[in-house]
Amino acid sequence: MASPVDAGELGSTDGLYLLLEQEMLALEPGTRASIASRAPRAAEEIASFCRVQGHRFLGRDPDGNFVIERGDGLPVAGGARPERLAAAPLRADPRSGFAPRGAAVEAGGEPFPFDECERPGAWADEAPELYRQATAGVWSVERDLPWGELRPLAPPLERAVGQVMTFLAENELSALYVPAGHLARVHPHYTEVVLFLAAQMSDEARHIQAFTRRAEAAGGTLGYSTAASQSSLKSLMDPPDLAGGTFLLSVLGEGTFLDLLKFIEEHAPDPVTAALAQRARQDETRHVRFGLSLVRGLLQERPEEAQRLSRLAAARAEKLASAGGGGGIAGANRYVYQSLCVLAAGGLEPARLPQGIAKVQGLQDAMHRHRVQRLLACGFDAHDAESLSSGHTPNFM
Amino acid sequence: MAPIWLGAVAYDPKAVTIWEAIREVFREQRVPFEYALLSSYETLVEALFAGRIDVAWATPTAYLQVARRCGGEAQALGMRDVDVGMHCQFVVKRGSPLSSLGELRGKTVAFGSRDSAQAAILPRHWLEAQGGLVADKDYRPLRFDIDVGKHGDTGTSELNVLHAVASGEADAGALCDATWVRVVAEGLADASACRLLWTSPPFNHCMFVALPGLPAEKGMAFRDALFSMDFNRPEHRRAMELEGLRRWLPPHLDGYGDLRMAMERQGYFER
Repeated sequence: MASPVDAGELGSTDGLYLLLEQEMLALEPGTRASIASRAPRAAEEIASFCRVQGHRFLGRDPDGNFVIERGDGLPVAGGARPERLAAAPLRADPRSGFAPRGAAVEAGGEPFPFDECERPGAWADEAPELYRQATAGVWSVERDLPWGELRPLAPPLERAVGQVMTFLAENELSALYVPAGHLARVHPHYTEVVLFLAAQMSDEARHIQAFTRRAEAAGGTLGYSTAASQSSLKSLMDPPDLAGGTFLLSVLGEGTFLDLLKFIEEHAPDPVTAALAQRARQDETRHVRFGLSLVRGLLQERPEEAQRLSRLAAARAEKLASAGGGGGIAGANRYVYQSLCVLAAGGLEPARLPQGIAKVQGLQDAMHRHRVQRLLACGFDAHDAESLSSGHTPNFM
Repeated sequence: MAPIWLGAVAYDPKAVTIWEAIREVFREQRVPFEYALLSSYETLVEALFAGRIDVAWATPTAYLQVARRCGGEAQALGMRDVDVGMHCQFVVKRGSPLSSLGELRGKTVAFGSRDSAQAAILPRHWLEAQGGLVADKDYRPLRFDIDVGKHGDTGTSELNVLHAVASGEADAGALCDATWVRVVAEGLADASACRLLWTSPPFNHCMFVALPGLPAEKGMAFRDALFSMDFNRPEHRRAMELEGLRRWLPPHLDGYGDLRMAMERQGYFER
């Protein structure tokens, strides 16, 4: 037992009870503390404290100090075996609620509705670094885009920009809602994943603001949102789990989006569209890296999950194919396709349109090639990667 | 076995949560169990003698009334750990020059509900037995007869006692040490304005009690199921925390002598 705790002449309301409770919190159940007190009512007050708080009062030792054995049921931090967690746990207890990772958690709490409670599928090794990057590099729609340099464009180009911005904004809305749906179900002890998802949502909020603003900033309007695009985006909300949702959204969807944003940047008819596509692509690169890290981690621990993820992607493709209806490529948005051709052709001049169409063809090839590379990087085999990528909805996302 | 009917007083809405959780424990132990909530300890005692309930969750005054009516043959079945070795206390305002019970002569002393063993019956008894002071003759009692019938369970009257002392309306006030430890730990302002004057000898508090005719099978099943509750099992812990205990204990019958004497002298058995 350590040297006696000096309680001076403190009575219960002078701080004796506060001091005793703080001393008990620092002890392990079953260990003892000795208290030196010269207060006239110390014996009674310490005895009452011990009975009510569940400790054993063992009277005085030969030196006249009061001896207390710490009980196991302190109502404040009691029964609590502090789980000091420096890193994401293999399995997290839903009863720790919103207690931050590393806090001592009182036993007996109610279970919270967290169902992402296992590291494979709820954790990404790169999340801490990606969150750091996300918060270090936050840009501002107001400040960091050259709005002052925007000049009126020829109507076909302005219409194409408005249509592309509409498509980008609806995609980013889905990319905000999908992680929002998963976030509240991830156990808070996968802290950096939760923080990253929050940063990702904040990125998407910024993109949505910028895309919609650009559509109207030079006298144009937002364009057309097709039912096929909406079905495609809605199906991103189908997977019930973070890994499934992240696979469809970040690995397949946002991965493909990177090529699209690069294409828009290269063929932008104005400096705001170019800067916006470039900034958004930097942010989306982090989201894709997060998705790759999470899915790779899952497949390393549980290779059999590759089949489930493949089925999710296949189910999505099938659903969109059957919903396609009126002919044409299921899930495709022909207005987006045409607008990209117009941007790449620099307008509607007949002499340049074939070149624009060829460039969009090149974009689709690049999207497929890069998707296969990302699937291989996740841990899928070459055959699966090829067939998954081919089945991906040809809607540029 | 027919269900064991337990009667308890609904002193707070949490009583439903507590007894529902305890009913779950009995179900887990395969002991048929029903509970009935009554609005006062007087009707609880009547329900026991009328055979409407098998076991009453009784305050010490209700327990002693049952025991008296059975000629001392009542069956005590179990109690809370925190109810063994309880004390009542007198507190005074911090800075008060008072240092003993005898000095309360001519003063105003605040008490909780008149049917509270810990905040009225025993404190009045100790003032007379150890301080030599008789109510209304040697000191002026200031009573907070709140929630009468609940035997002080709500604790409200004890908070009124503390407020009366803190505000200077009373020179001293009586309450139970369990309340005192809790409000001091929580930093209640009225408690921080007070200090301890005197602590009583120990007494024991609530008891599960049955009439002598309770079938042995029921008594045993009740005790076995009750004592199966474990503070470290999450599904048990919530009810135990709400009921304010860590362990159920077998009856400790030795801590009721002073209260029995106090109730006799104050005429509680004649009512």
